[in-house]
Amino acid sequence: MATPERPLTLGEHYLDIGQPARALEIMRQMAGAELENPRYWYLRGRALYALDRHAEAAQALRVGLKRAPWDVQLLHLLSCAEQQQGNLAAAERAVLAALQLAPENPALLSQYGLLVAQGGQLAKAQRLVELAARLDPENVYVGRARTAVAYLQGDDRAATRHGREILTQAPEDDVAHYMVGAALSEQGEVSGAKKHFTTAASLNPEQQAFREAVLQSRYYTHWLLWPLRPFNRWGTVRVWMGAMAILLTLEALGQSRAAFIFAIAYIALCVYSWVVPPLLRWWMWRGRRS
Amino acid sequence: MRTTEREQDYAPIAAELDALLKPSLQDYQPRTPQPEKRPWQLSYQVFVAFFGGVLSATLVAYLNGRALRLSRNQLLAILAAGLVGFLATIVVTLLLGRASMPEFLSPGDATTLASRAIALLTFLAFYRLQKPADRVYAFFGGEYGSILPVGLMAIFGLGFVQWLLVKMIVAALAG
Repeated sequence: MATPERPLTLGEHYLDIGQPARALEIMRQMAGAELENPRYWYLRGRALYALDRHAEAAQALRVGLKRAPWDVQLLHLLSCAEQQQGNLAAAERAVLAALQLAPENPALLSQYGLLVAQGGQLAKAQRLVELAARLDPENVYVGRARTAVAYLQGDDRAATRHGREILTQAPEDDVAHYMVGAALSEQGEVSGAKKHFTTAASLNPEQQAFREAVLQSRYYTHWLLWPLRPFNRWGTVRVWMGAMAILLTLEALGQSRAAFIFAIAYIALCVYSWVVPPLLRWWMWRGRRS
Repeated sequence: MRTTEREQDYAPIAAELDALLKPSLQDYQPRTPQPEKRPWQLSYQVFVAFFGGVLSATLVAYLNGRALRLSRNQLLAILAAGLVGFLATIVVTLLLGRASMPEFLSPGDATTLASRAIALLTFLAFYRLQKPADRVYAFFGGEYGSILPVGLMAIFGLGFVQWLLVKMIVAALAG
């Protein structure tokens, strides 16, 4: 005779191998006393969360919490589900309730850090993730949160460094590859970013954000956009300032012809930057518009 | 001895936890999905600064700052930077009007060049103020609105206003 735990174990197995729909199907068939088990509601919430049905996930987790208000896993996942819906106040209440029960849990501290970061409180976010890192420096989830907070603070070098630290321990961490790619692309290193985005997408082809990042990086490394690399690397303002400085210097040195040729070339580059990128974008995305 | 050492290690963490685990998001309001309330791409503001000038760039940066939910101090910093940029434009215009120019550069061209440079430098200040909030917005899946309607109004409307104000003030000060 099958014990009530076996369907739950099977459901958890399907979740662990990335098949939340099958896990949910198994749980739909469970009834009666099985529904009193908080683990049922946790796994149901996890399946719904993995399917991006965050409101339903939160509802399921709340049902589980009525049976086990002290369950840290339920509270943690509830916080994540509320965060995905933008309900940061509710997400904070859930994660603080979990932290009351497990105040030195690095994963919970990291989750709270990401939450307050989303609320714009980056200084507090950094303190939380740094504390989590002190408690468990090898934790990949903590590493991801540290990378994310560094990126959000605009410290792209620190984000790249933290992301690479994760990859030395977990070379197949798709999220770490994606975040390192994002940090590199902000530093103008589009080729390096493309490699990481491509790796992230190959490790997790289901994640649309990764596929979109690969497409974006192919766009920015397209040979037609090579003349515009200075704009990507140094920004429009610095390039314009540099161009004006060169132009004025040439004129001051009496090199009017050189200045004229340089001015024409710069104007041509500007016109190129207005015309070619939108056309290239239209060409590359044309098959993907619904 | 070991227990005392553990207690000594734990005490600072416990104190830090007490400070950090106070709720700070209970007043947070979820974002509305209306397109007109969305922020704009930061990089497009450079065109407003280049073609419209400091006042145009300031308006767009301020409105975008509100959409990004910048703090009151940050919004005031945007306005202050805009004011400094505008005053710098007046001062530079005044000085260039009195200075002797090299042959290859007319006073009008010098003034135009300088006011664009000031507008772009002011944009850099606006960019730094908005960038962290913009990153947070984009990182957590925010979508951007189109800057075109407000941008064009700022360029032509406030661009003309700035040109007029600078001319009037410089004429008053020079006269």
